[in-house]
Amino acid sequence: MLKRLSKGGRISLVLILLLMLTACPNNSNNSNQVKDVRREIAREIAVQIHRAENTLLRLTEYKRVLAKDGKIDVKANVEISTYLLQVNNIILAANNFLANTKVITPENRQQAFDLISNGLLAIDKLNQSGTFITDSKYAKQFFEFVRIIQSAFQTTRIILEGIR
Amino acid sequence: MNASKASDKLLESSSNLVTAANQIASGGNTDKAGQIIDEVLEALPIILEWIQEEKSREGKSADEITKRNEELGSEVERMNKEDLKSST
Repeated sequence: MLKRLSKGGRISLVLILLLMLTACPNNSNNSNQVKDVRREIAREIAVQIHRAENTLLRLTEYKRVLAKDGKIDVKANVEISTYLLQVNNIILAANNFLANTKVITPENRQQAFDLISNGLLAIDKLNQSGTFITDSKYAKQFFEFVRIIQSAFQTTRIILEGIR
Repeated sequence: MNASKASDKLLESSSNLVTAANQIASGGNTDKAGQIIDEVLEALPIILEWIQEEKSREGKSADEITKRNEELGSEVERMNKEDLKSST
């Protein structure tokens, strides 16, 4: 078959083969780099989720101290515990998603985005439950904890928005 | 924010505190100085928390972080379910 090709045709074929040989490692490198970046994005999101979960634990402990000291009534305690559980469920779902996917791709990005949006809605409810704390000093601290959780979710949303 | 950035912020906050204290000492705007001190004092525990948090996760893989999240999540779930049970 090679003999049937003209001299120019044979040169072209060799050139194409050379290009393919040199292009292959580059493509592989690029693909690895993209994979590394997406893995790094997943890690950063895990870090933000950790920030939220860690603060949620501290908020739960804080609420317990308030309840023990009689700073919040039973109704408020129930309300806050309910929303703390709701936010916790979203965080656990996001955590589970990360554990199973390892890398954030344009394909699974929407799934992660929806989880974070639901998380922000649950955080809004948690914020509203803070109004049950009548003492402004304790309410202020409560809202500060919620703000940290909210900021972790918002950062995650910004990271996800950047993925194409 | 990484640990070194948080440390920078802590130093910046401390510097603001010193400036505010100087203003009080020189008889300047004491209200504003007092306000700055309050804000810095409020920010310090949060900044310290960031530093602690950043240091604890430095060098950890995503798998280690998600595993720790799972443990924390179980703890939050257990405590709140317990609180709900005792409230009703």
